[in-house]
Amino acid sequence: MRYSLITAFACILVFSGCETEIDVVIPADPTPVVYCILDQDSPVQYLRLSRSYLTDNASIPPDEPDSILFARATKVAVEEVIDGKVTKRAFFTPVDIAKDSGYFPRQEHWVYRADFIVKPETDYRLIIYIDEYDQIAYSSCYTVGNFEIINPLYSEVRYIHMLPDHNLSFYWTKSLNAAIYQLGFVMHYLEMKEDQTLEKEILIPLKSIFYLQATDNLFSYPINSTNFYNYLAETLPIDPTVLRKCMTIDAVIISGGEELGYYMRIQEAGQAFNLMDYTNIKNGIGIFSSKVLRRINGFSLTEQSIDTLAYGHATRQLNFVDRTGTRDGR
Amino acid sequence: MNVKSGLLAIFLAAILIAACAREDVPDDNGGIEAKPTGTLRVLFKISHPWIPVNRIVRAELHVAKDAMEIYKGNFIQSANVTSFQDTYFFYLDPGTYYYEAVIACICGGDSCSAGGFPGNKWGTKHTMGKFDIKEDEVTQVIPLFQ
Repeated sequence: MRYSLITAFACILVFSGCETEIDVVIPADPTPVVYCILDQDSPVQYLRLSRSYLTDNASIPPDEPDSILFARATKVAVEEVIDGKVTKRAFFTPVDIAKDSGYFPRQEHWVYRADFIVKPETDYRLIIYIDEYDQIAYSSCYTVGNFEIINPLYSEVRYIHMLPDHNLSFYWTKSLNAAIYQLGFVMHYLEMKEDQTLEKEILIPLKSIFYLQATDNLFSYPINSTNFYNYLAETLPIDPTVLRKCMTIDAVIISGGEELGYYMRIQEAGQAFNLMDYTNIKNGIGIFSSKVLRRINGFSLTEQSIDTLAYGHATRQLNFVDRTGTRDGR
Repeated sequence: MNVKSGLLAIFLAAILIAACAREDVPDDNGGIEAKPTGTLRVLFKISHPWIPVNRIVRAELHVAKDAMEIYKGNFIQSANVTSFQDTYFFYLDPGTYYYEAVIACICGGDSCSAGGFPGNKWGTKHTMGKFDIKEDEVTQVIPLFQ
């Protein structure tokens, strides 16, 4: 009898031990995904906080609608630290935003907002406390220094010639602690349709340059004017009923912190599998960094550039008027 | 053994030679020829009798086919002038052209008009000139402002 029981028990053990199905998707606490680029030119700061979730198929939205966002009550704060002491603390509150076009797993969405001015060359600490998981994520960054654009300048008397025969070169001074600079333009233009005229603007980012550990105090970089027209052609919608007129363009340089530089460098290298390798968020993933924007407003394009915008092969379908304010003399 | 090695060597050499054989590349360019060009060098230095040179900036530099086209603003090429560069190059077909150079005064108050610029701050002075471009040669012009 005893042997029979032992035999039966051993059989149960053996057969149950032959179970081969393994559930590889094991529920776990979510990971905070944080994006916060402190804007040193703005009194308002934004932070995007979402959470990771497990799924067998990333193209299918999660079953539970709250799977990508933490509760609104999550505590988010940024501290300004000078000489090792916290001199200012700002709390972020969630605000609903209109989402851009594209794939989003849920309709409702919010980002966190706080009103404070960010100082240059100063330590900032980010702290996120997630009540529902008793979890904390944190980070720190040293904000970038101010800098100046020194060419193009004098928009009162200088034009910008946007043609390959003489490409424009940007010159600017060093922004301390910056690792990346993005050069570009903001173009102000009119959209005329029947009796309606709208003033619009478009940011044309042209080139990102990495200067990690640069010792120079003055930088220069030429702009490829063909990219200017190509970007407009790819970005502005073609609408034969709309007539457009270029008014002025602003020269823009944005300097970004070291963390942003590393992150963008990996992204631009096209290393998709390394995309999330760079993070400076402890107990989470993402980026906490800062940026400064400098802009010289109000340049006019040379007349040849305006004609190229109107009739050049890249942008002719965008219906910009030529130097005479018409298209094909009409 | 030696015969075998020899055959193997011949076989490998044949493969190598066949692999290196390439189609004949035509030694003409299909009638495409580079256009002859010459160079214009503009020595755009700033000097002025009454106003410090660091209060005058380069504003414009253009090349046109003739003086009337300068007047109309129909330029062949224009330079993005800067305060960091006083020499500008234009690559042009051989022929006769005109250039136009513009400087602007950035002094405050009435210093610009007192120094001979029309108007005050942002007042401009223009100059123009004729030059010839010859194939493979560099022509230099120096804009002078009255």
